Amino acid sequence: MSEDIEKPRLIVASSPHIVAPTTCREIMLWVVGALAPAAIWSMVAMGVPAIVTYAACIGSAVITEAAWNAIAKKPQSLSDCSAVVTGLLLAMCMPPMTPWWMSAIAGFIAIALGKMIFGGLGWNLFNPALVGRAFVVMSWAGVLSKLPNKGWFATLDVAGTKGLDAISGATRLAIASADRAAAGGYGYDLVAQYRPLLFKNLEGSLGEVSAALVILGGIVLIVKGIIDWRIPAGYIGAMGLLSWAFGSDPVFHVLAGGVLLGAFFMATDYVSSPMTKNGRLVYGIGCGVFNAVGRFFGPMPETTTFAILFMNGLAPLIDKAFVPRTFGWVKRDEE
Amino acid sequence: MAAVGHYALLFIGAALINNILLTRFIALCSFFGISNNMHTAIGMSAAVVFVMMMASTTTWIVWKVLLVPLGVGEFLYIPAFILIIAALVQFVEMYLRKSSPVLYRAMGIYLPLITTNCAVLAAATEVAKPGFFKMNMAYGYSLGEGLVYTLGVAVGYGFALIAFTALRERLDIAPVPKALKGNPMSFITAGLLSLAYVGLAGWFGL
Repeated sequence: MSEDIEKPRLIVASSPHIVAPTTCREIMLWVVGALAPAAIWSMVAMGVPAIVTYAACIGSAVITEAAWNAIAKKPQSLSDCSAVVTGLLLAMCMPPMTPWWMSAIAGFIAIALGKMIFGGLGWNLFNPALVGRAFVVMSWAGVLSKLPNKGWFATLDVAGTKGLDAISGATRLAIASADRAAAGGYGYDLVAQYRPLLFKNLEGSLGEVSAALVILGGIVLIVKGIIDWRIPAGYIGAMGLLSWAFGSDPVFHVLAGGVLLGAFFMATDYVSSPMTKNGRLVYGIGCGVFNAVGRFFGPMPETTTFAILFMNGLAPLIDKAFVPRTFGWVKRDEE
Repeated sequence: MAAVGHYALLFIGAALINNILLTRFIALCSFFGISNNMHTAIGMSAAVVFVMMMASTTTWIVWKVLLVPLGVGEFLYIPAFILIIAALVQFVEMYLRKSSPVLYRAMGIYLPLITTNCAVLAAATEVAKPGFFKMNMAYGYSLGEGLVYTLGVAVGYGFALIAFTALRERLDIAPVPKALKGNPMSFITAGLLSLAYVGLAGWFGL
């Protein structure tokens, strides 16, 4: 009897009655798997601080979800692994030298304010990881912007720093931005940055270490049918086109910063993105436009977080605008 | 060309970057009061565009023609503008009811509501005294600048209101904790939405 309740043989539900064997947990594990190469490589490349950040983000996300469910007397939802995905994504958009308590607070806010308060998985209006990050960025902007100056390159061994001409904490995007402001005064060669951005970029967030591995993970998810190609295509396409229109190097601007991680893993969050195909394309393009304009004309070197949160806020409206025609129905004439 | 850019910046700055609802938190009462129904939200937004444009034009003229020459502008402008806006909106409502029943049905109910909408007063005072708006600009808009600015404020109001209404429709069916059902959850959602608008701060140097 109890076995029947745990694994019912007959599922009673409303239409549609097609049941796919895929579960939430399976999808989440695929996302973790797709992120794993980039995450592991960033731990190898950045060392202990990266591992601390990952542990703090994922740990606090999981503990928060467990605690919330326990206090609210709801069934435990940890087994769907969505808290792990949120924590992992959150860690990947944090700089490695973020103090551990800040990572932990970001994880707490992401799960509590980003997801559980809306009723748990499937109800969040905004991407939980980005809510956590935006909260921390706004709360401790001063602390975060000073991080690179402390120099997390100090964690590299001496031999590793010897071959370098100069050590700078600034990210490539910040340098490119300063270079634009000085009308090319620094002579910053964007094309020369492709290789480090693709394979080993130590200036920036954990998810930016290797663009190639992020793209690889994204392609795996698209091929598996877990994410819709329209969102990343719209996002990256708009980003590249606008960067080119603004007179800069499109490939550099797609590879640098959070665009790839955002386009493949953040903007594609099922719950906070539109449901219709055309809607998704519009949503992706909106993210790209916001991100590009913010990058070129805004005070911050990077605006991926806010671009996706902004479009999350518009997602229900986009859904309303792109209601697909019901199969077999004829569009009714305007009265 | 430079003039077009100037007006475009004025519009974008008023509509998005300094969004009256989500960046400056003015007129929140209507933001939460109206946003539970898409139909009303759209009607309200259209009515706000109409009333704001009218109110700003009138108050701008009164400011330039009456208040400033008499030397009482600095301390009388708020009561004067409130009176003007309230009287004007009531008058327009009466006029619409008689002359254009269709238009009256479309936004008649919202007109008295807007009388007390602080966004209208905010736009009107800023058109007269734009010192607050972060843009390198002389103290005092021309009528054209004032109208573009007001249109920006009103369109930004409608944009945020309609987007938030769509969000709230999803929120209404979400299993949020009992203690937070309704307005508390709306406030939290609006807070998160305004967190997204923080990303717009300082664009184009505005």
